Amino acid sequence: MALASEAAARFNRGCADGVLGTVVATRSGEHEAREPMQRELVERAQRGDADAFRDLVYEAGSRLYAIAYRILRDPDRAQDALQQALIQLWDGLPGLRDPGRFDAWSYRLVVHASYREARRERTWNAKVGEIKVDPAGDDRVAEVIDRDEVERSFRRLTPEHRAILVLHFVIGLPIREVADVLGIPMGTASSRLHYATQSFRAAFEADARGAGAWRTTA
Amino acid sequence: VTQEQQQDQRMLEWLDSGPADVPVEPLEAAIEYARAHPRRRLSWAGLRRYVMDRMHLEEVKPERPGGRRWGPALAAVAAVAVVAVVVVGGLRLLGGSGDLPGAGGVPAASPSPSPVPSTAPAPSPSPPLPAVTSIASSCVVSTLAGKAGATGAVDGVGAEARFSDQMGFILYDGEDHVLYLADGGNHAIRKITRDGVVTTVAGRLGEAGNVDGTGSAARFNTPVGVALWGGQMWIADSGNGTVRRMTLPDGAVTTVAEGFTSPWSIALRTGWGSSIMVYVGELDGGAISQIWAEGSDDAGTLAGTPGALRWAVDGTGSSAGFGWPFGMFDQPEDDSFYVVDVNRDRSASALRLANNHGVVTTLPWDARYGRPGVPWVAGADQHESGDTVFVTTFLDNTVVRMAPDGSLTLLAGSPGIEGSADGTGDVARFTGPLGIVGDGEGKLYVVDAYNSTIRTITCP
Repeated sequence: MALASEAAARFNRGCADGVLGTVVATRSGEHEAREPMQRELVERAQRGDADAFRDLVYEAGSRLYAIAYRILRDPDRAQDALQQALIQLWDGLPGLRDPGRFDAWSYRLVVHASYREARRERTWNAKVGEIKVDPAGDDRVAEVIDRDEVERSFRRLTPEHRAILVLHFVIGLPIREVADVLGIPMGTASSRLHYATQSFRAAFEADARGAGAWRTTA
Repeated sequence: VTQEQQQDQRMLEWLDSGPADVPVEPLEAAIEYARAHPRRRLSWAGLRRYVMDRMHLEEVKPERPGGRRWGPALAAVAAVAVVAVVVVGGLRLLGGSGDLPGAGGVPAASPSPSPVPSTAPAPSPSPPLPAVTSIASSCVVSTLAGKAGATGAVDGVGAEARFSDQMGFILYDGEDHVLYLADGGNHAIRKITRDGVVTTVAGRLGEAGNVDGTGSAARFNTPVGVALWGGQMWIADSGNGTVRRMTLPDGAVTTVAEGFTSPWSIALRTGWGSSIMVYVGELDGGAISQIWAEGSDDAGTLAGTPGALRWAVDGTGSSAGFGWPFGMFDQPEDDSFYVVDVNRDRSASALRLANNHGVVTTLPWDARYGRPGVPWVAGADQHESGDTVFVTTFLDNTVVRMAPDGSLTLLAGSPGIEGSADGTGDVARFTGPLGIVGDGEGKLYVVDAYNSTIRTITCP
């Protein structure tokens, strides 16, 4: 446990200095920018204003869909998860004590809706297929191969690992807020992020080795 | 640039490569849902009206200054009306499970009932009412704290103490030998000693809010359901749509889960290690929700389908159906727990047994004793021979014991007759008995909700 925590701390220090840290720092201010207008919409929707809810849904929808899509990697199921989360939003809005926490709460709902979708039908691996490429292909083909490698690597992650990568690197939440959204202690969130990234790298390297061999022998 | 940085860069590019636009279908579907489901927020007074409306009681309930209780002259009229509904509803209950909401031979509530003047003649019951056959005439009912008909927000001893007229559930802390009550209308958790000394542990009397904190710094909004395990109390904070946790005895309150619509009943189960699973039943929730007290990664539904009201349908997981999981009692280390399930139009309720795999069965119940309201199970050591379950009948003013063989005994109160009298057996009166708990030493404590008192029942 101590080793895991140390590794996680080291990883997070590395993030702050490296490529990943730059992304998080850039995105973490977006919430503050939209907060005042969003708060008003949330408060009106809490009082039952369906028009405010409509504006809120359109304002938050793209972020929530981005989360669901990246966890599920399936547009249809991501839509289902998004719809479930939005309905829960409406039902649960009166219970949201602090309108300023709307983002975190909505992320939590869509992450859990995505988990449910993921567990409802585990078809991840079945959808990962080999791509057909021309052995004498050009740069575009190499790019497709690269993307397929990344896609396969990501699909090998558990939904929980995908969620933490998406929340931290796509949405740009600091690890403290990620822990809050996922309802887990901060130490757990740190180590989960660490292992998610390590798993991704390991899967990516394994895949790259395989693909490289294929290209060499082709 | 290291290899790791290259990999990270490609991962980020790939993460960024999702669809640019969100499809409008799920957005519009949710908006349509919102318009079709106007905001519904729990209000106890509103709830009581709702329940009474569907019981056809508003039309015979007289208004009198200073209170909502019935006058003695009309109690019999009301009792006839109540018992008539009880009997018809009971026949359906005895007829088996799988009932549909609103069915059951009980006349549907009129969409716009016309008030009947208080001087209206009593309806003639037909057919004659069968009698309750098993009555424990030697159980003694007393008032421990509060004064019948005198609502308020006062800490004190015995009859000096005051509770709201929106009292919730109660539990007994065997470590300190004290009771804890969710005093919903006062938005506070009250502590009651076995001598009747009432104090406020958390929240400020009469002041609603939603604040985590210790003691009087914390705020609740109509707390109703409570459950206890390991020195910590879980609270269904209905008005805030949250589940709160309070450490005992210091009263430090934190919010464990939020986003519920109207959490009402609550029960606990221990998991591996020290983890706790919290079961939550919501007003017309259609399901038992489950959350882990530490982290909500595994939040979900134990049984039923959220939002789909299928009252008293037996099955497993989503194939089981619930209406309103009104009362729950769980012994945290046991595999099964009791749920009282109320149907959509409040004309009937059923005592059900669920387990931690989501298997739900409906137990036989004779509704002549009153429709089940809130269960409490005596003694975890009795499971080999079956449970003895004590049940209040919130709408029918009785307290009933179900023996391990399923036989029922009326411990106190008279079905359908309101009142506040202390006494023995069916001479005693209750008005809306709700929460119930025992101290393990033979005494039961009952929240007599509409009398705003705590009653005790001692059976030899």
